[in-house]
Parts: sequence; C-alpha cells; structure tokens
Amino acid sequence: MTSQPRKIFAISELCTACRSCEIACAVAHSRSASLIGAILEVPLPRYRIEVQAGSTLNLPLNCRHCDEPECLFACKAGAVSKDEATGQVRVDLEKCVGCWMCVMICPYGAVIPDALIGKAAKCDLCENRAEGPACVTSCLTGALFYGTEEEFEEYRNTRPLLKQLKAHR
Amino acid sequence: MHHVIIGNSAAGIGAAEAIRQIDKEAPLTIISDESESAYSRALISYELAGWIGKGNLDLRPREFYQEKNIAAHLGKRAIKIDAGKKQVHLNDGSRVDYDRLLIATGGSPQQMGVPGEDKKGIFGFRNYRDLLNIYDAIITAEHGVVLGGGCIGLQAASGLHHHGVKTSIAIASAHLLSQVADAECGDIYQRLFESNGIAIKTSMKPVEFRGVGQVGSIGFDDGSEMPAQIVISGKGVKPNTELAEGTKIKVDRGIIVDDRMCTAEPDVFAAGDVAVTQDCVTCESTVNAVWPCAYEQGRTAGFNMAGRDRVYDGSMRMNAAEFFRVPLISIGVVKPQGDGYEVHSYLDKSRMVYWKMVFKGKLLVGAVLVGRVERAGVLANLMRKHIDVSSIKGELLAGRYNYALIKPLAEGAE
Ligand SMILES: Cc1cc2nc3c(=O)[nH]c(=O)nc-3n(C[C@H](O)[C@H](O)[C@H](O)COP(=O)(O)OP(=O)(O)OC[C@H]3O[C@@H](n4cnc5c(N)ncnc54)[C@H](O)[C@@H]3O)c2cc1C
Repeated sequence: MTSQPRKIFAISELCTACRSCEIACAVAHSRSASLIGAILEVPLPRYRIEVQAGSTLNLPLNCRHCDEPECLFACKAGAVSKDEATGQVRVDLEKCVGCWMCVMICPYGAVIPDALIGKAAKCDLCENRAEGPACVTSCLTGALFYGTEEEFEEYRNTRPLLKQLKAHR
Repeated sequence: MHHVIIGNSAAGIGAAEAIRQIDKEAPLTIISDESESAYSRALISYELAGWIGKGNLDLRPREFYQEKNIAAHLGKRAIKIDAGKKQVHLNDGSRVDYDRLLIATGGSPQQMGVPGEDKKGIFGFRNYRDLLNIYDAIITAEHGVVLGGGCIGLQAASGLHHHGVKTSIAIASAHLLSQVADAECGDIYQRLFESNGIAIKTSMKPVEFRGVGQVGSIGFDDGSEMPAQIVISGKGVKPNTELAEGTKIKVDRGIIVDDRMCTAEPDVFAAGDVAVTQDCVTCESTVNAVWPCAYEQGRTAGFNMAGRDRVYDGSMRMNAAEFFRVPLISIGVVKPQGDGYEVHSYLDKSRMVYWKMVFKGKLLVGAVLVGRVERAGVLANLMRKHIDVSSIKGELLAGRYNYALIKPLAEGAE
C-alpha cells in the first residue's frame, strides 16, 4: 500500500450543514448525472455522504476507507475488498446480498442500507468521475478536501476562515 | 516459519490474510475437509432462497491461493495433532509439519436427539453439500418443515417456500427469533411469514420422524403430526473440538484461548466458531458463533502467529438479516435477565418498525432494530468500547444517533 492513500477529509468547523454534498453525491451516483434527471429516477439514487449533526458539531461523514476495514471483515458475501495500491475500500454490488452485516459493524455508520436496491451503498471516492469526488467539488465553504493526510493538514492550516472562526468563538 | 491453518472459512481466511499482510514469503498451508475453494456458508441460505442474483458463493476469488502464495490442501481432513512433533495428521495418511498452527474448524449441526433423525430427507444446514442435497430433495417434496426459528431457520423456510414447497416452521419456543430478539420482534416476523404463506407453529417439540427410509411426517409432543418429505434442522451448532484430544489444549464447550487466541499448547492457536472467547459486552466466556467475530479472531491469531503482537478485544453477540424486505439487526444483551437493566422500546406494528435498547448503568448493552437499521454500527461501537452514554441517552432513544454524536465521547474513551 502506498504510505499516503488519498481520502476525503472534513473540517467540521467549516460545515454549515447546507447538505450540498449530499445532493451532489446522489447526482454523481445517478444514471442521468443531472439533478432533475436524478430526481425522476426509479429507484432514486442514494447519497453516500451524510451531514450528521452532533450536539457540538456538524460532520459531513462518509466511508473512511479504514486501514482496518471492519466492513470487509464482517462481509459474509466476500463483496468488500481493499485496494492495496490506493487504500480504497470497495463494495462489489454484484456480490453484495444486502445482509447488512456491514451496517451493523461500521463504527461510523457510514455504510448505508439502500432499501430501494437492497444493497449496501457507500462512498466510492467517485473513482470514475474525472473532476474527483462530487461532495468535495460541491462544497461551498471548503469544508471537504480530497487528498493525502499530509496534504489535508497543509490545507487545513492555510484556511484563513478557520482562524477567524476560532477567534470569533 | 511454516504456518498451517485448519479451516478454509471466515476464521481461516481472516488468519491467512493477516499473515500475508505481514509476511509475504513464509510458507502458508490451508487444510480443509471441504473440497470447495473458500466460499461463504452463510450464503447457502441466500442461494436457496434465490437471493443471490448474479453473484456466487465465493468468499474470495478462486485465484486467492495462488495470488497469496498459499498451499491449499482441500478435501482433506485433519484427524490428529501431534503437538510434540509439531505435526498434523491428515486422513489420507500424510502429515504436515507446522511451526505455528491455527485450529479454525468451526462447528457442526447438533444432533436433535429425536428417533428417526437419520431418515432420508432430513438435513442440517451448514455447508455446500447440505445445499446440494436439499436441492435434490426439493424436486419431489410437497411439504417441508423447518425445525427452528432463528435467522438460519427463517432463511431456510424462505428457501423451501421459494421452490414451491408447502412450508411450515415448527419451534420449541413461544416466539420466532428467541435467541436473537424478544417476543415483539418475533411477532412482527411471524405475521410477515404467515402472510406470505409460511405456517408457524410454536411451543412444540418433535418426538419422532415417521416414514419408511424416507421421512414422510413428524410427530410432535402435543400429539400432532405434520406431513414433511423434507425437514431442515435449524438447531444450533457445536464446536468441532475433536483435534484437541491428546494435546494440552483445554476444551470447555469450545477451545479455550487467551487474549491472543493462543491455546494452552504453545504455537497452537484457535479462532472462530470453535473458540471460546470473552464477550466484550457481558464479560462472559462464550462461543459467539457469528461471521464478524470468526474473521476478527482469525485475524488476531494470524497477526500473533506472524509475530505481530495483537490483543483480541472480545467478541460480541450480533446478527443481521432481512426477511420479506424487513431488515433486522440485533446486538448485545437483548433479553436481559436479572437486576440492573433499564429497557426502552418502541413498536409501530403497522409500519413494522420496532426498536429496543437495553442499558445497564451508564452503558448501552443491547439493541434490537427492526425495519430501520441505519447506523446500527454506531450503537455496536458504543457497546464495544464501553462508552458512558448518560449524556446522550435522550438522542439514542429518539433514534438521533450518528457518529457526530458519539465522536467526542468515543475520542475521550480512547
Ligand atoms: C446458513 C448459515 C447462515 C449464516 N448466517 C450468518 C449471518 O447472517 N451472520 C453471521 O454473522 N453468521 C452467520 N452464520 C454463521 C457463520 O457462517 C459462522 O459464524 C462462520 O462461518 C464461522 O467461521 P469459522 O471459520 O469459524 O468456521 P466454519 O465456517 O464452520 O468453517 C470451518 C472450516 O474448517 C474445516 N474443517 C472442520 N474440521 C476440519 C478437519 N478436521 N479437518 C480439515 N478441515 C476441517 C471446514 O471444512 C471449514 O472449512 C451462518 C451460518 C450458516 C450455516
């Protein structure tokens, strides 16, 4: 595995819970790839990122592509795999049987039971989208970032707004 | 360092993958008395019920052994461990030397102890063979009875029904899913199964299988009789511990291991449905015979075999399933016995939504979710990590749980 896989990171302080990422994610995972088209699709495309509101923070959360992916360990269908080169955790939808073992085990609650298709839906890093992950490109406040952990640290440290926000609180 | 793994399923594969993560070179051998390349026995029920779609039962691609540089002895049975000579004896007379050995032999269906249970047409439901035999028997069977109302029994019944067999489920307990959940949950599924044409009889035990050679009916302890040309026993499994005989390995129901999955015999490990581990919610020693635990135990054993110290943080009682499009997840203590528990539940019969949470002091110790199972893993995580939930109980009970809610608590607990 490369030492620094690319992942989607979130700066929760910058998240206003506008949910643009959820919509962009659903559209990116629709067949028509347009908002209006996506709304008309049957079954409706499912978003795989969720803006979760905690008591003290907003957190746009999707699959963490864990180093120790418990969903892979728990998958009794052999449908989950981890790409050794990129670190990406993938679900093979042909093999997924919708048994929900992954939903039961993911500590982040980031695998979504898509009841409409009876299969597990989770972040695939928009691997087939030239522009990169749709949630990141749609985020209005720069709360989402796609890159290595090192790149993210640098990105985070250079957010002027973040300093202002901290001073504000 | 030659690693030998007996068992080619969840625990065995978990160990092999862990060993290969650390050491790509060390000789690694997998022995299994089943001749199939690693497949998921937990999917035979899905296959029978026609739920598999385009996929297959393969747990890993067939090239797995070659890619991972694993010598696979499939279709061979280990019959003895000579711990002194560090050798495993196989049923074809050959012997395999090991430096580190893993026993991941799983379990076998328990005998029912009912006269006539060796008649034709009566099946356990544990492996690919059973599935093929059931397929053969289905062709001529008009009536089928599943004995047992756990997840596997319900899946087996769905399978027989799917193939046009007139199917009934007969159980000794008062409600379905009695090991997994409570009466409220059992009732939801009972109504679902009945409305889909599967009959359910509760509180009755089989006393005799009748028929000449081939089963034709079952006699029950209340004097009733049910016609059945095919019977599937959904009784529990017992750990395959025979290989411990003649060694120092301790057996109490299953094989006793330490927190690194090592048995009392040096360099011999055990994992999965054959092993007794500590339940991280109840702190009791038990066999938690479920897939995720088997894989993680195998993984822990594999790391320790390959020389990377890894402690197992305990098993957990858990199960997930879906019947007639109504999903079910059950984790931890769901039928609390004794004092000190606080139970909350919510039931909406018409929408088939039910949930229940069990607390003990400041901890969440159990949950049943029916109908809506989103983010169940967040609850499992609270239980596994023994996180004090007193400050978020309101949100938990309102169903407003997610990772953002528990993040500050989870990070505090680490
Ligand atoms: C129909 C069905 C449905 C299930 N559904 C679920 C579910 O939804 N969720 C869940 O968590 N769990 C489920 N389970 C349980 C799950 O399959 C087991 O917990 C899991 O398979 C245990 O893995 P294991 O590796 O410990 O043992 P096993 O899967 O039992 O594998 C044991 C291996 O050891 C080999 N073996 C045994 N003895 C010997 C010997 N003497 N010599 C050589 N080889 C030997 C066998 O051939 C096999 O390869 C289900 C099980 C069944 C049968």
